[in-house]
Amino acid sequence: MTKAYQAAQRHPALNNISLEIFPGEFVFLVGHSGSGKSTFIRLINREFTASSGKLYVAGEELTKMRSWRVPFLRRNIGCVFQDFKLLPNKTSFQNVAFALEVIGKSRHIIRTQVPEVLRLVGLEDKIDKYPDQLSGGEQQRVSIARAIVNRPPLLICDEPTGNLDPQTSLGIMRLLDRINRTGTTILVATHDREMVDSMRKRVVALENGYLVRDQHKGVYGDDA
Amino acid sequence: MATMRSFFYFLKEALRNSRKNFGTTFGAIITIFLSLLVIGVFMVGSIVIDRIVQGVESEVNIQIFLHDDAADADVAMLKSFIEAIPDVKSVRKITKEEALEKFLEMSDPAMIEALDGENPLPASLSIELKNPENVQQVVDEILVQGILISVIETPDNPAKSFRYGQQVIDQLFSIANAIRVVCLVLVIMLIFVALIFINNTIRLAIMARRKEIAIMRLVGASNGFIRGPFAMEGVIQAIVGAGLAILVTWKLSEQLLPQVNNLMPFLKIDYANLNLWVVYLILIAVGFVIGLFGSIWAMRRYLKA
Repeated sequence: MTKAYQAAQRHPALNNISLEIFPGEFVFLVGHSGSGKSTFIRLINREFTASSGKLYVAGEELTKMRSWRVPFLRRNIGCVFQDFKLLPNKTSFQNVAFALEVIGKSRHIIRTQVPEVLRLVGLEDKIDKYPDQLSGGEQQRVSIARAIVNRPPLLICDEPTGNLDPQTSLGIMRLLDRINRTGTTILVATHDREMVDSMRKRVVALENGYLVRDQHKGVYGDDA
Repeated sequence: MATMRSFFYFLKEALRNSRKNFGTTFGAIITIFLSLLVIGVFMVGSIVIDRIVQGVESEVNIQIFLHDDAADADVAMLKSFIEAIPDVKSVRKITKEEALEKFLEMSDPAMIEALDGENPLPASLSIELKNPENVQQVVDEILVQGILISVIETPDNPAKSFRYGQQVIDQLFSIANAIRVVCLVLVIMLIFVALIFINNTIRLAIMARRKEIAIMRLVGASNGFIRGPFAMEGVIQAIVGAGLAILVTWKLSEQLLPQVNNLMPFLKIDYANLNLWVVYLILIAVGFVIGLFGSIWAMRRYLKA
């Protein structure tokens, strides 16, 4: 699979990547800035399509997917970002509930699932707080809660700990690990060396758009 | 069931967002209100002008003054000749007495005394036309009737016994047509300006919330669902704006039209029967359409895949 941006046709952001991620796996995607991590994640989310090659998510070929089907794909993929992407004018509860409201879930489901998932991420006592009343780690927990409240089989995280201190990052990673153990496939793009080394999960390394290493129970490595 | 729930969700969200972004909402409503108000005032104005022209048109008639000694049989014959002309709506004979009565109604008492019991007014035939524009043709047709000479007041110069305002009518028609065209062009331009204004306002409101839209897309909301609250908001703003415009147009015409009538009573505007609800209906419809399509159009770029 290759992704070349319009602006730089001759230097594809991802070049000839071939990779398979299995259900229930926990995968770290590592590499420098500009190595293609984010491009990879946005391809899975079908924010855009691959220039050549094929990308299957849950058996469906994304380059051929009709655009009206994309929302249904995204309902099965939870997303967590470095900058949390929370709505500042909504409380934790409302931020998480928003994800259910906009896909048309009933109020009953929202009222039972949202407190449950907030308890799961350890924020049961911050349920009515607004994002600016929460610490960075807590905000990221809200965003994780929002990503998993619909119980997606796949959770993708783009630099989830990029804005957090090591201690807080560790807590977030433990949370992701716990979510992984309930059967959710997790893909984390990161350049947080310590965290990757401490978790000992599958590590996929990208460099300048090439896949340079795919290692089970791997470490961040010296080459990246 | 699901669509009903969506509808109420859209409504709830739209109202909540309107409250929260009150400044933007207020701006949008004012923009819509003012644009539609100007359109409404122009439409009422053109309707009034139309009515004035119609009123004047219906008063265009031909009068033929009759000789005092004209035989009743001859007059009756001329009358039936004229009635046979296709463009003629009706012919009525006005006797000397009727003419005097009408004259006395409009004159002051001193004038009546000066008459000293005499009646200098001639009897006449008053001809109403189906289509006032054809007044000259009708006059020409009457002039060739042989019987005419024996009944009219001035047999040596038949045209002198006729009263009709050909030139005034021609001018009136060309002015009225010009005014109609100008009004139409102005209304179309104003609708266009309103559309651009409203679209811009909605675009700003949407731009201020693009983060929210991005998150909605992220968690898998369908485009229709994302569009819903915005479209609803646009429609609500447009309908409130249109409602205000209608209210003001209504109050203005209620206050001003009688005054116009008082100032220029000869215009005889039948303002009670103006059918202004057509204008109100158009304002609501135009508001609805620009609110709905303005917001959908403004959202387009944020919903591209």
